[in-house]
Amino acid sequence: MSPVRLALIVLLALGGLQAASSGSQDATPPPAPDAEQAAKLEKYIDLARTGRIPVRPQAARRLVKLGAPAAARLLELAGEDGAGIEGMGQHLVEVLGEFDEAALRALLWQRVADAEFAWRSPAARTLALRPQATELERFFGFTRDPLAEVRRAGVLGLGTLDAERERGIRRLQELVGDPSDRVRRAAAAQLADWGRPAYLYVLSVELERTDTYFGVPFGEQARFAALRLLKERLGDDFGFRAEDAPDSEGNAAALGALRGEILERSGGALPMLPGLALAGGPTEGDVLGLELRSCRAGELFLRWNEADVLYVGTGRAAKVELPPGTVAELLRAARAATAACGDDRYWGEAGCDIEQVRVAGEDGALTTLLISKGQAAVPDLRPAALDALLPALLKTLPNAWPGPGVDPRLALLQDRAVNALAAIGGAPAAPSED
Amino acid sequence: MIQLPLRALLLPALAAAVAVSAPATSAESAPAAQQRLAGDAIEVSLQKLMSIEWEPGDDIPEDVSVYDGQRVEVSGFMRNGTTEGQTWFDLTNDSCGCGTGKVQHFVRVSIESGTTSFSPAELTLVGTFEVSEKEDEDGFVESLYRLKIETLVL
Repeated sequence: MSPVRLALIVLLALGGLQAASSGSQDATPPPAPDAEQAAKLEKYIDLARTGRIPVRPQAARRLVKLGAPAAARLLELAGEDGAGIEGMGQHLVEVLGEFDEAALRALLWQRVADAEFAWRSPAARTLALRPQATELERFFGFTRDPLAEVRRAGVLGLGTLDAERERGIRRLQELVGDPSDRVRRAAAAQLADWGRPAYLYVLSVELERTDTYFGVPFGEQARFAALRLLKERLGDDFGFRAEDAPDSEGNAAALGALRGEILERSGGALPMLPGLALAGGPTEGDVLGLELRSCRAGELFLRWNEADVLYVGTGRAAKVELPPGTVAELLRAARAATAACGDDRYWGEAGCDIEQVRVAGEDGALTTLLISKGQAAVPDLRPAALDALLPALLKTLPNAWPGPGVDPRLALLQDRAVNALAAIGGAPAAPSED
Repeated sequence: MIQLPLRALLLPALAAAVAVSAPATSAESAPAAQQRLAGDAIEVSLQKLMSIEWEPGDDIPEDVSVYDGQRVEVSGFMRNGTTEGQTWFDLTNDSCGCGTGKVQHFVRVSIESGTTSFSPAELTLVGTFEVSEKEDEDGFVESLYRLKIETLVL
């Protein structure tokens, strides 16, 4: 990757974030906890960091209930420069903004401005729960972040602050065309809450999604998420059942009634939606997939179809035509790489960085290879056979500079994939030039 | 680095069970009855289980409590990081295991005979479903949904 492109990605990662001011408040320190309370604090902190997975968020929640003594201990763990926040893990970071503790909040802003901080998404979410009036620009900055969850937190923060509403509306109207469905839904819901009920139409379109990614029912997930937001705002789900096909008899009628209600509330005018916000369906013939999820570098969902098409994203995925024979050649290489992995299918340990390669065999059966790690770098994590496959896959990815007429899902796609791969299983070899 | 061989093929449990259509119970909701499969299992959407708004201590919504004690079929993925040799694992909606911190976001699957071997592939399981809060010794809810399957065939 060229230094210029790398710089752009880093700049995007920090886009709009202002340097954090100290923001610490002068306050009387809380009284030291007694021995029993101190033991409880340590126990909950430990459980929230390393306990069994379902226990972690509950332990973090108990810390919030303990209030000031817990905040004081977490502040101590965070350290003066906030470096200790990294080691707290996702679930503790997720609640730090709920303490009424300005010093913790200042450290969170400081850490979230660092593109290499692994917990930027949970940090942004927790900051958005209790936004301060002075942080308005920072939340606008969030809405331009490369990480979808940070952009979504920006929407939530702006909505709660409810300052400069007209400016917020203009920005959220842009986010209705965001590459991430989570961001689009959040923006549409907030626009409705700000007196623009026509944007509920965006959510109603999500109810029509049936797309899957190698069996992962992203369309169904979107239907459930959209239905919840619609019901909260319309007071009724009109009998729509998210687990059923959108075109089932009951759902078709329900969707008609629901849209009728939206139309009535919005005075008959509905927004024009960009192509990426329209409903997508399943595709036949996907034979090779690369799914990247990095806590620092974001998410990418890539599918190569036997019709020599590359699909990028979920929902109505972006479509890239490839030269004839490209996918057959990639598939041969991917099957050889799979065979070279023997019976191994998993490398690493559970964490927020994940690469998944999916390969259709000659019999059509799908093989999934999973590489996973936590926030720390792990040398030589990716097996050599997959390392060898990556340059050929990367070569097929477009890499256009962002700008008018460029689908945001395709802008700098190759660079973003290289960046994500580097953050997860290690830097791949450069895409082949031949 | 841990390298786990894939030797396991997870098969729907109770494969030898006699398939007898069970009538909808009086307590069963109409949707649940509609979803009853040709055999005797009810197809349950993991997304539906996950979608409930629920916190520990809350009443469990009828939408999902209706499946308690039923024989169900549910599809999903082993939680990323499932270790070998356990008699249980968590079934999540995505093999990345992302966003599965809440207890309603997974089904704890217990294997009556045999143990786990991690697979990142999608699984479809049939077994007896249980819906209730199960707490550990500290009062933390360990699971809300549980599925008992007969075996994991290696």
